[in-house]
Amino acid sequence: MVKNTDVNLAKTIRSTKLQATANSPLIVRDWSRTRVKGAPGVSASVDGFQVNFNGSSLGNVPERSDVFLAISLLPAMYHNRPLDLTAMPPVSAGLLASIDKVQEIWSCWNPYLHRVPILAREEPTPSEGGAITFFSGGVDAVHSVLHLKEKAGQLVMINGFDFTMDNTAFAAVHKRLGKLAERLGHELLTIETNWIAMTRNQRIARSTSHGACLAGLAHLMHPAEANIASSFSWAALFPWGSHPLLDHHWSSDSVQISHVGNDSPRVEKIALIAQQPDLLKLLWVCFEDPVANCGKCPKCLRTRAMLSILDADTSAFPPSEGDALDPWLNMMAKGTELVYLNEVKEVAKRKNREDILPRLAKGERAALRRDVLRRLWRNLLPDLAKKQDDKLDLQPWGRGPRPEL
Amino acid sequence: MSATLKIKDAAVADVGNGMVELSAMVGTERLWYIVPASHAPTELRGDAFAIAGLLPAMRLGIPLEIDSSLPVDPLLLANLERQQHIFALWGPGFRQPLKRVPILARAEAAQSRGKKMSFFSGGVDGTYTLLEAPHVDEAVFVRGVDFQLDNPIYDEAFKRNEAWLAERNIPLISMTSNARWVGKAYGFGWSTYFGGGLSSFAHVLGAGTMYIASGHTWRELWPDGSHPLTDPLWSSSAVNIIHHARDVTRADKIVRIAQQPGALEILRVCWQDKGFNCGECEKCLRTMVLLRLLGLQSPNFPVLSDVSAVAKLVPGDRSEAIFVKEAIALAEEVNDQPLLAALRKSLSKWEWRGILRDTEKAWLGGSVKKLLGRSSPKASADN
Repeated sequence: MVKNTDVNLAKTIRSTKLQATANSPLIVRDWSRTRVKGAPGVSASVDGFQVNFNGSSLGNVPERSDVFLAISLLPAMYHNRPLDLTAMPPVSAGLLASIDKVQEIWSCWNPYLHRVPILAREEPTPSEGGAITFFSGGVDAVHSVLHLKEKAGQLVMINGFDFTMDNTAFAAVHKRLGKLAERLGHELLTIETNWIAMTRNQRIARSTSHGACLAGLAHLMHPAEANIASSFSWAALFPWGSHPLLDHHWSSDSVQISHVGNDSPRVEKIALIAQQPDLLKLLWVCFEDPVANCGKCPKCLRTRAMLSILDADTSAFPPSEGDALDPWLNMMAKGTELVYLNEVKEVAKRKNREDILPRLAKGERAALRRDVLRRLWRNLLPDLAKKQDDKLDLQPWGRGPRPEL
Repeated sequence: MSATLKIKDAAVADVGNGMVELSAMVGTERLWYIVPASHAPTELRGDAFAIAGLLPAMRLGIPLEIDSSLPVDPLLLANLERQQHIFALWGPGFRQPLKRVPILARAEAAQSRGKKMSFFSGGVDGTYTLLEAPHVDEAVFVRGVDFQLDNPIYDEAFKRNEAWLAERNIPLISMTSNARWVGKAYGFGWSTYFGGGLSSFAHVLGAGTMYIASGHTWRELWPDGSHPLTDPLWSSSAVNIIHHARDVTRADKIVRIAQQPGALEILRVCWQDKGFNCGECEKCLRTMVLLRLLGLQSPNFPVLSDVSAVAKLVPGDRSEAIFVKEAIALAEEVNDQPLLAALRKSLSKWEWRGILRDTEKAWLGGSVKKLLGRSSPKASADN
C-alpha cells in the first residue's frame, strides 16, 4: 500500500482552470490483486463500491491505478468532487496530463460535469508492446478487425460491459466470439467485471461512460496500442462516451489508444463484413439478448434491413415476416435511426434501387414528424420537458434529447 | 471540362512596397497571395495550392493534379487523404456533393521556417488565442477575408492592431489574398472553405506553427470549415496547424480580453464593410449583448441600451443560435431581465421557424417550399 506521505500532491495536481469546490473528495482505495472464478485480476473501492476486473491475461498486470482512475473520473466530475487516488498505486506517466483534455471536452459537452483536481502519483509503466482491439462480435468490432488486419492484435471481449451475463450465457457468447476470432485470425481474450453495476449505481448512462471503461481496460492490459471501434461515421458527430475527439486523450506514455472506423458509415461496414459470409453467420448486434440476435430490437432490425439492401445473408437473424426493410422503416416514427436511414439512402441511390427510394423517403418523413412533435411539445411545455429530462440517467450531452447533428 | 483540376503556372513576382506575390492557377482560377518580401517562399511549392484546390476537386469529382514543378510535402499528402474521408462524409452537411478524388503530386518534404504565428484581426477569438496560445512570434492580419479587398478600413484596423501588438513585442504581418473568392468561384462559402483557406496562408508564410482560433466549443461538432478534426489535417512536416481554444465560450473569451489594457479599444468583429463595426449586424449585436451582460464597454460599439434590435434578430443558422443560447444563460446569471426577454424572443423565432419549416417538410413533403422556389435556411452560415 502506498503511504500518503509519499505523495507530492502539489506536483501531481495537473488539472487547470479548476472550479472551486468544497465537496469532499471521491476516494479510490484498497487496490488488491484478486482471483474470481479462478481468474486473476485487480480490485479497488471506488467511493465505497468495490469494482473488479478479472481475466486469464491479468495475472501479471503492473501495480498501477490507471483503470480505476479512468472509471472514477466521470463520477467525480458529475458530483464535482476532487478525485483522490493517493491511497492507490501510481498511475502511468503521461496519463494525468492527457486526461486534462478529457475533462476539458467532457465539461464542455455536459454542463453537469465539472473539471476536478486529481490527486495521484505518476510513474512510468514499461510497455509490453503488441496491440489489442475491443471486440463484442458486432458490426463495429468485426469491421475494425477487418480494417486493421494484423494491427488489431489480440481481441478482447468483456462480460459486464454491455451485459452482465451468467455463466451459461457467457460460455455461449465466448464460444461464438471464439469462432469469429479464429476466422479473423486473432486470439481472443476475456475480461469479466462488475463495472456496469457501478456506473448504473451512479445514474450515469453507459453511452456516457463506456469509452472511459475501455480506455481503463486498455491501460490495465498495457499493450503498446489499443483500438476502440467507432459507433458512428464522421457524418454523425455528437457527444458520446467513445469518440474520435476523445479516445486518444486517454493515452499515456506507454499505451496509445485509438478510435478507429469513422471513415465508414455503418452500411459500408456491413458491406465489408458481407464479403465473408462465414463471418455474417456469427455476427451478433443485439442489445436485448447476449446469446442470439432477437430480431426485434432497433439494432437487429437496422442490421437485417441493411443486409437485405446489400443482398447479403441475413441468417444470423430470425427471419422477418415479409420484407426485411419494413419493420425497420416502421420504427422510424419511434426511434433515432435517421442517421442510418441517410446511409441506406445513399446505397439505394448508388444501386439504382428506385423501388425502395420512395419507402425510404416515407421513413424519413416519419422520423421528421416525430422530431417535429417532440420539439413542439418541448417548446410548449418546457417545465414538463425539464422534469422528463431530469429523470434520465446522465447522457453524454447533459440531459434530454440528443443534440442536433 | 478538363479531366483533372490542375494546379500549374506558379509564379513569384515583386509587386513593390516590399511585397511579393505568389500565385498559381487552381483549375480556371488564379489564386494569389501577397506577402512581405521577408516572408516570401524560399522555393516554389505546391502545398498551399494543393490545400486550396482540394475541396474544388472534391466538388467537381475529378483528380487534383499538382504540376510536378510544385512539390507537395508527403505528410500533407497523407493528411489530405484523411481529410477527404471526413469532408466526403460532411458533404451533405455542407449541402455540397463532395467525393474522394486521387491527388497527383510529386512528394518532397517541406523545410520548416519555424516561427509560431496566429491569425489576428482584432476580433474576439483571434485576440483570445493570441493571449492564451503558448507563444506567438508573429501575428498575421489578412486583407480579403473579413474585408472586401478594396475596403480602406483594413488600413485603419491594421494600424490599431499593429500598435496594440507592438506593446506586446509581437510584429503584425500584413498579407492579402483572393483565396475566399477562389473558393466562391467553385461554389464554397467562406464558412465551408476557411479552415483550408487560412491554412494555405500559413503554408505560404512558412509558419512553423499556425494557430487558428476556434469560434465554437467542443459541444458544437457539426461539419464546419474550421474544426478540431480537420484543421490539424492541413499540417505538413514543416507547418503545424493548431485549432485553438475549443474549451472557452465567447463570453469567457471577452472576459479574458477585457483584462488586457487596450484590447477592447481595438475590438472589431464586423464583416459588413460598413465602418469599423456597423453595430447592427448579428456579429456586432452578439458582441454588444455580451459586453452589456459582462458590464464592459468598448469605444468601437454603441452601448446596447435599446434591446429591441436583439428581439428582432432571427439567428440565421444553428451557429448563431448557439450564441443566443449562451447569452441567455449569462443573462439569467446576471439577471438582466429586459435583455433576457429579448434574447428569448430571438431564440424562439429561430426555433419556431425551424419547426414550421420541418412541419411543412414532414407533412407536405416540401411541396410548398418547391412551389415558392425558396431554399430553406442553411445548415451552416455560408457567406
